[in-house]
Amino acid sequence: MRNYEAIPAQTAIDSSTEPAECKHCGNICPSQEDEFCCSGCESVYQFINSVDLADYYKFKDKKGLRAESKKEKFFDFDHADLREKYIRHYKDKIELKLFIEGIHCTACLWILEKLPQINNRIFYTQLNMTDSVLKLHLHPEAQLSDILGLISDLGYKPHPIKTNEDQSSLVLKEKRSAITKLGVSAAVTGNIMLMTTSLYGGADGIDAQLFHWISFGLALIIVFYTSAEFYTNSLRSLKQRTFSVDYSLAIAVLFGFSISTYNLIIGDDAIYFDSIAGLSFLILSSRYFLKYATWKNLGNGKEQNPLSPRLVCIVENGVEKSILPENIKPGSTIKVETGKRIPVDSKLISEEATIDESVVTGENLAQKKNSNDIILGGTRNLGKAIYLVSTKTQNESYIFEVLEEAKSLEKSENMEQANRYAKVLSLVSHSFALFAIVYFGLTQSFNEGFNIALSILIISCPCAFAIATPLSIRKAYDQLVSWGVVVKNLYSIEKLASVKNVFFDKTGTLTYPEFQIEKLVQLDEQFSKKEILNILGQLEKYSKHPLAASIRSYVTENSPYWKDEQNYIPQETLGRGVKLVYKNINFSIEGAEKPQDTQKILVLKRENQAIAEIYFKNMIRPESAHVLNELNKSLTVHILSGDKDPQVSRFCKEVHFDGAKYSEKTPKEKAEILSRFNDTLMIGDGVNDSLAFKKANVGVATQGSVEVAFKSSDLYLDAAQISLIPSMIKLSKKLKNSIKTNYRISIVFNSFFISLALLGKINPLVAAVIMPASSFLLSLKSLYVMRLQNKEEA
Amino acid sequence: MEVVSLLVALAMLMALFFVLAFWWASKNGQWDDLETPAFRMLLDDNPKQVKTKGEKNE
Repeated sequence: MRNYEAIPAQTAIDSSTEPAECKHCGNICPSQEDEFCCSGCESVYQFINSVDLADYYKFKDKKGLRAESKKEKFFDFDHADLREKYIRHYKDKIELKLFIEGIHCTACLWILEKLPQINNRIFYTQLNMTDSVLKLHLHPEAQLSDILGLISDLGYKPHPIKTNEDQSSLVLKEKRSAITKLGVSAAVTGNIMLMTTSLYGGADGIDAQLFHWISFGLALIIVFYTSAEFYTNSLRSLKQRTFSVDYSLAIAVLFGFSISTYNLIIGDDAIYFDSIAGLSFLILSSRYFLKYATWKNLGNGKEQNPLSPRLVCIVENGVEKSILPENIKPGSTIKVETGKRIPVDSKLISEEATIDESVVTGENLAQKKNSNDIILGGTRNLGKAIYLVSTKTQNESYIFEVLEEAKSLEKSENMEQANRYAKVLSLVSHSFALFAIVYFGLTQSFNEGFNIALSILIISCPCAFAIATPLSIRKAYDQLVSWGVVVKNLYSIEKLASVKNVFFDKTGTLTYPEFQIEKLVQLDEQFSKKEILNILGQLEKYSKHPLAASIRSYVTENSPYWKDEQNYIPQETLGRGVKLVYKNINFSIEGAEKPQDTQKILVLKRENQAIAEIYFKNMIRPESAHVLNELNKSLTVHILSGDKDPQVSRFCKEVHFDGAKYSEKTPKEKAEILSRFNDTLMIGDGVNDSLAFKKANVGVATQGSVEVAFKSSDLYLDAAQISLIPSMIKLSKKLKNSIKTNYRISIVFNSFFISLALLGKINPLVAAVIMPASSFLLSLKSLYVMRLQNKEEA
Repeated sequence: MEVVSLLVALAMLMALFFVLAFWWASKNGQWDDLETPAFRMLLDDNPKQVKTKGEKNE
């Protein structure tokens, strides 16, 4: 039945000496005889072979494929109201877009685009590997859970994208319009250049007239179509009363076009259509290069950790019904299952509950709540199913309000530093141009004055800024990406250089987000460590308690062949630990009796006799101390935590940090503290930091952040390396320097050619050569200065 | 030199044709995804053929 052809030969040899590799995912199997690490992988393997797609294994890198998801996980999406949020209707099909987690190679593309062969309800699939979005056309009656289940059986994690949150169609429009403009601009510029070449080559008389008029016709496209964004950007900046490089561009294009047209009519040869076209084309292309980077980071798929459940179970007249969380009214009875998030601020009806409030406070120990306590929306229920009465709607709930506020704060998308330089330079060249018009207009003729002013504008125009600056930023962006940083706000790269106050969140950023086992102390020599690990694993395998997760990862780390023995089902009592009868012996795990405030200890018991103690610790990331002290040398570092004071103080002592620290701060207080300082950088990971990210000049989220924190941050450290922050600041300083040198070169260059122009020595030909040449040189220089470097060099 | 006018007219028409072709292609999504097609062309339509060709390991 199985198709052994598809297995690489190498696996067969290895299996004789070492534990066998799973045929599907390549993980280690529980024993040598096993061919698969788990039943999930086995079924996927058989499935792939049964549809004659066994070649999948030929081009596939097996890492991370382990099949463990189940179709039941996706039943929510069949709920009529929820389903409507994800699909678009067409005449005889529906469209669904999924962000696919786990795309890593060509085989993924291959199998995902073969889906129509596997399920006849799927008509068409197309994968975009750049943003890992899969587009599907489905039969109108297809159940989403079937489709999602199928994809997840193949080893991917599908995340449906809501149609109203689908950034890609908005961006698609922008993308298409930008590339069309660029293409048209290139064609028009090329043709104008062609005409102009023959003019410079000596065409005269009627031919010259013809060539000039054709250039004029083509230039119309430049003025009214491809340069349109200069005008709209200028108008927008004018409304916001800020400076923009687009002012100079708009003036150069419009003024250049009018004067050239006038000269064409009166028969003067100061005609600059080619320069305008070249300018417009060069700027569009360098902007395209920059924009292309922003299109890559839509953050479409970062919805892995939503704060609100997709559906909520409410109880009406004794009947359970599921509705969308935004439709909950105050006073409804809600049922929240184990491990699910509480949708809105509500009052507990059940006797007690264990709640994970880390979302709000950053504190990662489970909190016990009693009947009538208020539980905030967004927190997670760790214990058994609880009943609550909602007190607010979702929009009025505390944490959602904070998020809404964070969303509404707009950050300026301006290149502050670069703009300041550009402002001075443009002011100077514009006043020279004005001076030329007035002076030559009075002494010679106004026509002469306009011509000289025009050559000044075209030569001195913002080549250094409008072309070289975007290139430098793009190079800095590439550098950050190569380090594993996701750049969401390109302009924040430049702002990093001027940061003076650095704020760190503690939990999850400087420490690991979850508790880790510091040590396991055996009290009874009768058991081997392996046996103890096995029992711990069996006890905690299903628990949702945060400490259980740490125990599970400790077990799998130290005993890689540990296997879930499914016939042993542990009993969890809320707040009192877990019990299990294993091979006729009573085992239990519970909190230590001697209370200790700083350390969490659990005890493993056999028939009420302690056999092992487990010590937990909120481990500090190894690089934290170094980063804090490194940054504290030149900048002011603050610790801004939602955690309680003893923990914060103890942390500071351990990393030898003696700077300012704030503890027990709510999300709003964090934001308030940040707004008291200037030039701030906020580094954090939680929802409780999201408002602070927006208030800070630069907000950096670290790995493991929830979706909302990701959305409100400017930069995201994918690799969880806070040690990168000093390098990032250094890179930003380099960028700032590169922009500054461009400015200096421009000053020298412009003052030389402006003087020549004022002396009347510049004719259109010279201007047409100088303008692109100088832009080109500055661009090359920027690309060289900002070339990619390793972390160590930077 | 009248022929120049004819050639220029022809050249402009050709340019117009290419610009229109470009505009049409862009409107139909030709440049929406500039990365995936590079991988897609590596894949064979018929799995059987890949098998005999052998090593496609990365």
